[in-house]
Amino acid sequence: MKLFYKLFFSKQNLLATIFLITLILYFISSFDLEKTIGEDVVGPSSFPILVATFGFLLLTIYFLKSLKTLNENDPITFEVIKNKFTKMAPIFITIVFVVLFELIGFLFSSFLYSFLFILYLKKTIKYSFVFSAIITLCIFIIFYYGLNFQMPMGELVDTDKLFPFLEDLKKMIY
Amino acid sequence: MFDTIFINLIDGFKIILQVKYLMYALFGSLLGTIVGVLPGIGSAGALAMMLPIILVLDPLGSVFMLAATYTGVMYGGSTASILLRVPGDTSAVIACLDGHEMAKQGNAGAALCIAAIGSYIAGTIAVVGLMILGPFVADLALKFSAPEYLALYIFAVTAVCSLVGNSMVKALLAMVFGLMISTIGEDFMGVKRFTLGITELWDGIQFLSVTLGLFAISEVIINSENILSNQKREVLKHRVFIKLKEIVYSFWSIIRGGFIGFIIGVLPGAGAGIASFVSYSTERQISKNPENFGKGEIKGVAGPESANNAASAGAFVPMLALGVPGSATTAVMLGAFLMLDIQAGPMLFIERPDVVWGLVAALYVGNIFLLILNLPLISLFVRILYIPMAILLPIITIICMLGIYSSDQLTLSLYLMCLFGIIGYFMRSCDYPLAPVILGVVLGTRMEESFRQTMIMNQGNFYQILDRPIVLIFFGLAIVSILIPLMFNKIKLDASDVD
Repeated sequence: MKLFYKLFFSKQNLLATIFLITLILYFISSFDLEKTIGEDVVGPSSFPILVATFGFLLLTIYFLKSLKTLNENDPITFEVIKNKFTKMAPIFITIVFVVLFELIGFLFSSFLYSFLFILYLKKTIKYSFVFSAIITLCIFIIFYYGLNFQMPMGELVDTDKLFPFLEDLKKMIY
Repeated sequence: MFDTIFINLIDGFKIILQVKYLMYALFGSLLGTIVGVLPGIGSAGALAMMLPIILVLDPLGSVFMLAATYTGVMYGGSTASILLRVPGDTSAVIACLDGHEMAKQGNAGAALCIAAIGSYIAGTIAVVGLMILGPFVADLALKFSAPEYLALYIFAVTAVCSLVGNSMVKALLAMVFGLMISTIGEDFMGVKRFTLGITELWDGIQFLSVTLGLFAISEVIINSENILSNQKREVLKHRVFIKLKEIVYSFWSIIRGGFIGFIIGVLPGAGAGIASFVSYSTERQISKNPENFGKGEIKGVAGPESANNAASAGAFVPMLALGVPGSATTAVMLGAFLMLDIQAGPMLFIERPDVVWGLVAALYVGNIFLLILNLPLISLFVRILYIPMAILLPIITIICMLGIYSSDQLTLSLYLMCLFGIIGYFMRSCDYPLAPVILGVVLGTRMEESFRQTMIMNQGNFYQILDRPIVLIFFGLAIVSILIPLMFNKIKLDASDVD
């Protein structure tokens, strides 16, 4: 049991174990696909099955190789996982940005995101505020006016209605 | 034959050297470089953005501007990869490996210079190739059918996986992961696979979500981790220019990259991305110090950068000679030709020599403009690295998000970018290389298509493809590319045992 735990749940091998689980699910799902269609000899499931088989072969080699260094493997603990997730706060701030992106539009969400991000990196509120405003405005001008990008203007807060001159200016340019 | 080519080329130069057309080419090069730096637009997107502009120009001016934009985008793509590890296009992915390492060591200027010089030399090689070998190579490319493409893709995959990272098994596992991602969505027969009932996934996972997530977002997480753990970012004094000995050292890599890029660029569907991957693996394979690759080896920038530029010129061969667009970019170009009432194909050389030879001359001129524009701009680009990380990191994320959002307007793609950011972060912590994932995503769909078409052609008998000489050559190269690093490692291990 200890060997099993060390092999599959050590810090070094955890990612390979997660990949193994994903691969098993992928392999099983590929059998649900239609076998062949029309003149297609091998069908839509053939390539995924081939890929999964190759993946299993590689994972077997990987785990067999890691048996040699089993004693050097560090076990994964709750502390390690917690530590990793704490370090990933930027990604959680980014997810909040994505959620708000279409809801409150680019201008507000981008400002909020930059503000939180810079603040998270232990800068002062004043510094974060000023640079978030500069970043948001610069990117907005370059992409919206310079490159004619489509940007969400917000469903809950409609930036277009709040600042109608933004759209007018774009119409003037293009 | 050479007399005719020379006379035609002189005629082409007579056209392009008019001030009006030079201005168009200059504008195209500049715009292409700027747009190329931004992720998410890509060369096809950049050309598509130019379509409304070219409609008001005369046909020749339009063609010249498009050609110059194309070469500009191919160069600009590497800038963001080298400086920020943000690849905007497949062909720019490989520049993240050694180019970004060089930037971290204070050699950003040298990396950008060698990319510009390599792009110029290889671009010129490819244009000469386009002139002389164009019709001949286009004929050869027609001999490529599904089995040959399958063999080419297998070779590209094995060559890269055997050389990227410290462990071949980990690289191949990363590639399998990429192949799995590529099977999500509708296959070429319209069957929906692994979409989990999500309609937005019918078109598959967008390439940019994967690339920018794996490379850029994971970089953002790692850099913020460093800032918070008080690891001071060393503000290096970046060298703006390259040393002559570095150019001499990389010269043959550039030449090889030029030839590899041109040949792969000619093959419809292969593209600049594969050219840069193959060039990278070739350089590492033949290098006396392969262990330096991935740690800031200048040849790891020179070869692939040259290859991707040469491939972009090579892609013009099937488009001009056969009217077959080999890539999304040349498809947009072909569309532009139609808008301008220019019919690409074998008759184009006879009916509109001004377009063909003017285009060849425009590519020459575009390459020169690129060099003139980019060398002074390097000192400006390098300044990006002096921006405090706390400000640069949110800028990178926002630009990545805009790049992805602009291409499909789907919030799901942004969530996927975050997911791949997390995956990329863990992969990097566990020492898995990221480039094979991208290779898997890029080649997966084409590889599957070629595989299934091959099986249809041979009525289920896979071994029949071994009767084809081109297939055998590629399979041979694939085996060699796996064996050489294995043998090299064995020799190294034996040597260390003796020590």
